[in-house]
Amino acid sequence: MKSRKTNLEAIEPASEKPELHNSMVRRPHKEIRLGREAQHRIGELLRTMYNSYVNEGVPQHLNDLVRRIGEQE
Amino acid sequence: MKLDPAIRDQVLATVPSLRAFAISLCGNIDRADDLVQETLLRALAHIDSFQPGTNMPAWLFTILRNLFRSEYRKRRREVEDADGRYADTLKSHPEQTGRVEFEEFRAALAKLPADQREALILVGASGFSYDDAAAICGCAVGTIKSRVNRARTRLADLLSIDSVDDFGPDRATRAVLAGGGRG
Repeated sequence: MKSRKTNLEAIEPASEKPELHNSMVRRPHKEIRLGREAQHRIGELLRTMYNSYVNEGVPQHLNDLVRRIGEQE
Repeated sequence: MKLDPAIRDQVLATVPSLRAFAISLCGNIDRADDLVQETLLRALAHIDSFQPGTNMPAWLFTILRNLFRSEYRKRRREVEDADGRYADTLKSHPEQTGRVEFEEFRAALAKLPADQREALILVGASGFSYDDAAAICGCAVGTIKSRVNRARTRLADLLSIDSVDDFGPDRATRAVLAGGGRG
């Protein structure tokens, strides 16, 4: 198993590597990647909500508006 | 000059998803309808700038998004809908998802920053590619990917959806837990 360094590990003794300034130290990526099941569940909820709006179709007043403007010379 | 019927039909065909996008952004149906109406008026007034054969939905979504950002973004108290008026204005609720779960999801979505919410809706619900979503939002593709990822993570947190693939119990344990929850 590939071991990963974390900020909980003991500080290593001074090495031969040049000392880096704080601003030059590469910080760990903060973004967390969700698992597939969590992504799937959120996607499902999102599409269910969105499709409930889509299924309401075109409100009559917007339909009339587009047709009325479309007929104008 | 009269509007080409083919163009008119393309506009009308986009209205349901355009409206769904607006409702998801505004969290208020009346305001969303106003926003869609304003978008249509603006689009039809500048229909000459639309090139037939290009992506009509993306063009209309871009106009709507820009209007929302310029005129509606500051009205956050309406997005939060603390008194639940928005829920009452819905004509229907998804049947396959429980009403409580639906309301929880809607409330959680409203808590996302606007840029994350719009990115998630464009990619996860409206069916736009990351490239199209980036063009609509006027940012880099990588920015959209990052916003979508952050939005999902935040929603998972708000809805207590565990990222079982990464940190949760193994498949067998999950099956036992899932079975126990149905009783």
